[in-house]
Amino acid sequence: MLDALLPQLHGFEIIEQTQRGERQAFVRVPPAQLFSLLGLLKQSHGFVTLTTIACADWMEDGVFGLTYVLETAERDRVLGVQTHLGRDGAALETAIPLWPQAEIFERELHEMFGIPISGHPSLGDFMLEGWTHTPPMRREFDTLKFVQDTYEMRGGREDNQDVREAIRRRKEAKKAAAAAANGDAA
Amino acid sequence: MYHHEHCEGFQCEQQQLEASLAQSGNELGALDRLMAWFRQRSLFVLAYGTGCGAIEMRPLMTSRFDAERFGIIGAATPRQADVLVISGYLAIKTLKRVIRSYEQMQAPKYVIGLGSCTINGGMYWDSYNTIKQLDHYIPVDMYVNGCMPRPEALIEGFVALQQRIAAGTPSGFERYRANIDWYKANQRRVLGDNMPPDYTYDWYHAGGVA
Repeated sequence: MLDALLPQLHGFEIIEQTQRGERQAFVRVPPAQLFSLLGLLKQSHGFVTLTTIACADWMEDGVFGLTYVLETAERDRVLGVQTHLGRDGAALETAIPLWPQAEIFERELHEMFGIPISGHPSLGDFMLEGWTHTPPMRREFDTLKFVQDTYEMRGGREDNQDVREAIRRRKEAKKAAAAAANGDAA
Repeated sequence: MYHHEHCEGFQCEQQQLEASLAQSGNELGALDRLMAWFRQRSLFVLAYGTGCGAIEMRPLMTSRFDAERFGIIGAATPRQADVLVISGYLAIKTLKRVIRSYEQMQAPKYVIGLGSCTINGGMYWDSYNTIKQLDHYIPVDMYVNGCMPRPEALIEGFVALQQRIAAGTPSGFERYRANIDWYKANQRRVLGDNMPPDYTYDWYHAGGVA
């Protein structure tokens, strides 16, 4: 699939390419070329559907790995267009002019990762309401600490027993019984 | 062959149906006993599902388990409902709606917490977006544990609630009114500036006049 496609993408700097089987491939481009490549793929190469925009937080490299998953109308080819976006407030250009459904995907990116989307008309609350902390899907967000600070956990039952202790005792008893039986047999 | 002395699961339902009829309720006067009997036999449940537990409400209400035998039936709006079933995990965003619905319900009103998530967070104990103890935010009359509890367990919870009503035990709403500052402080702690408008509990500002 890439062999046929790549020669037609003149002028695009393909940083990375992966072919996974006959029908699925990934290409990575710089953020500046992303929007024009998406437009070209939609207009001229049949990738008319935007399935989703996936995001992975590569904190060690200081980037977000974004993947626009595109699909043809015949559902015979899937292309993931990837780009690496700086983690520290680098803006992403909106894909709403190409696909209206990108509106909600980008709102989620904005809320969960704190990525500013330029040209987006409605970057409001999406699933969280009035969230003022670090966006929760960023990896520096310490979920457990946040939970311990925000909520009060219910104390255990007073007769609460350590299950591991009980299991260990039962195993030892079983082992001792088996050893005794072996001793009898010998 | 396996014999059991007592009924199990759905076999208990007939017994449960008849049990509450034979209650003495000695500590209540005749009129209170009559009122309690009316109340326990017509529990309108708000048709509202918060988490995955809402899936258990369908077989409960429809022909398979037929909760209407117990006088339990769905209500369309909070103002017509007596019982609010919190069916599973409660996200902060949903909590706000639940508080509003609860405050709009007319007293006497009851809350049943369904599933482990309402008791201690359940499998969402380390989720940033779900509350861990429901009774910190609204008063809970009855907890039904399990993940998920079967409709039979829910029926048992309802029957236990009916017995409480018959015995004249004050509903959780009395607790809510008495400790409103504590409840509101807890709610404010998770909702922040996003608190629901306070006209649904305006008795609080009107000097306790409901």
